[in-house]
Amino acid sequence: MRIKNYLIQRVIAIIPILIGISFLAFFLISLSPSDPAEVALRVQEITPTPEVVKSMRCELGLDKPLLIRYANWLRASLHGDFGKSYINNRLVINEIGNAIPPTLALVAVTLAIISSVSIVAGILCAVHEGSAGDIIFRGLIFWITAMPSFWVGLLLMWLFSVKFNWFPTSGMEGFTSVILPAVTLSLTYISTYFRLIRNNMIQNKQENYVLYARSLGLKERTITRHILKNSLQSSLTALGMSIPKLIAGTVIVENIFAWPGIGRLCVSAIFNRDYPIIQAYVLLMALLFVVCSLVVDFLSALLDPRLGLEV
Amino acid sequence: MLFWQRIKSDTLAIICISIILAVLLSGVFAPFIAPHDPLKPDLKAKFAQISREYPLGTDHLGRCTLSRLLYGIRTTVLLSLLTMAATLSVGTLFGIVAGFGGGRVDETVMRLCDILLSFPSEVMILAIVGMLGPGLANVVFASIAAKWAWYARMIRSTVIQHKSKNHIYFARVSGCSSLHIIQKHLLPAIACDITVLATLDTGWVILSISGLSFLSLGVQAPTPEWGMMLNEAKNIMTTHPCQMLVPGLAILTTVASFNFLGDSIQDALEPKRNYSESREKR
Repeated sequence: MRIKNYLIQRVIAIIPILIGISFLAFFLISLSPSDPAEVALRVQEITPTPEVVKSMRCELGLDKPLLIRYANWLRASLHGDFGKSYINNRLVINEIGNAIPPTLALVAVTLAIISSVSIVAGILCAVHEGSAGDIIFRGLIFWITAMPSFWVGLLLMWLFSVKFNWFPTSGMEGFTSVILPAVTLSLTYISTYFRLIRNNMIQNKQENYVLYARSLGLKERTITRHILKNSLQSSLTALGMSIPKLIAGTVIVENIFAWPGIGRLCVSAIFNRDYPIIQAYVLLMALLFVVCSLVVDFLSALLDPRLGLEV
Repeated sequence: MLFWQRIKSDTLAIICISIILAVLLSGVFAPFIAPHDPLKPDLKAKFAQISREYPLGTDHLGRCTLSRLLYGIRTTVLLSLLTMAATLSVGTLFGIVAGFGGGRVDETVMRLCDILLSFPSEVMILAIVGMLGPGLANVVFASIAAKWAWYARMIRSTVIQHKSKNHIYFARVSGCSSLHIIQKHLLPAIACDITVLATLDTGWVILSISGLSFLSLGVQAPTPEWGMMLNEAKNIMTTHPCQMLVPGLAILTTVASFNFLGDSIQDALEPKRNYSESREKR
């Protein structure tokens, strides 16, 4: 029962946050130095004479007071209608809908790389703690992580696409094209999870149950398996939390490798001043984050009842 | 001064401080050190090799890479520091107002922070730059707007911790004004937390600003900036891959120095507490 109340509380707490974000997404445009009607005309290559601008303002509903416009926009957005793109007059919801699957595919491959590398390396380094391999690998990870992703992306592209010609430089053709962007994206995150898993395992190694298992004469292999099981729990939560972060963090990588995802859509919308797309992007990202943190909180309350009771 | 002794005995910290100081000084004195005008193209000398005249060669327009790198410090590093300072000031202001004011003021500021912190600063920055349009000023504004809430929250909790200490109570009973208490007692007490936060985050700000410039959302050509230089190098990657090395290494070294230094300062100030998990148990 408590968990149910907790969930209801959290859902109610989300509403003001979402209203605040939609407010921001909407009103930032009125801060913008250029008139959206004029922008919309220019991108359609119509000379913005005063009369045309006026009729465009009517068409876009810009002649109404700000609050009414906000209410209208919010109502439409809640129904999934984000208006039309200024550039090609296509529905924003379709444009974004087309861009989401490539981003999700990229994120899925990235997540697979992050989890496999950090789990395997984390286990190996924790088991052989303090060995030369552990130290070298940790140093390597540290330096790779300190490299800016846009530089790593370029270096990887040059080495594997230009020099060796193993993967395509950009675009989305076939499975191989996802590898370079996914590796670039995962490099930023690997160190966090690698460290988390390694440190968790080292901490768990000192627990009493390990001592007990060892005194029972269990095989080292079995003991490691037990340690792993215990230390993966918290790491998995952290990994789950990183999914929305990854989806929002693809912007630079998608632009380097010309990956037709949502980050690239957003940046090209910024260049074209295609406000409806930017607004929809911001709103969807905010929704994604709020919902994801809700789900994670709920799941952890479910898994660990103590958390739910405290709130 | 236990703090200085600890920092002095930390070789890594000393190396980082020297690197950062060297970078900052060369940025400030760029007009005197730079061998050429960073904006002046010389098409006859494009893609020049490393030579006495061009110590790091030239780019696709024949502009001296070393000069562009040095002038780039001004936009990349100095501007990031300014952004950081502005973000900190706004955050400190709101943090103190919320923590010291308490009650309804506190509630309002914190709810605003909740909204801003409900999604990551990268998205927030992109949103603001998107609405206001590309450009360096907008990027700086966006970074401040996206990050201040985080500092406000941190500083608020520090202020609340310090507020209930005896010396503050004593100052209040002695009839000191709130402003006096904040200036004389609260700010010095939270200054060290602020410094750590600032150093730890400067690397992030540099990456963020140069990343946006790399996407051409920040600095506009021909202003020299490290991210922008990488962006230019990208287009000629197949023919002249070496162009990517100089700006990339510059960003890497500077960011890594700030990150290492942040960890060292934090260790020196409070060996037990850990703001970030970047320095692990050894």
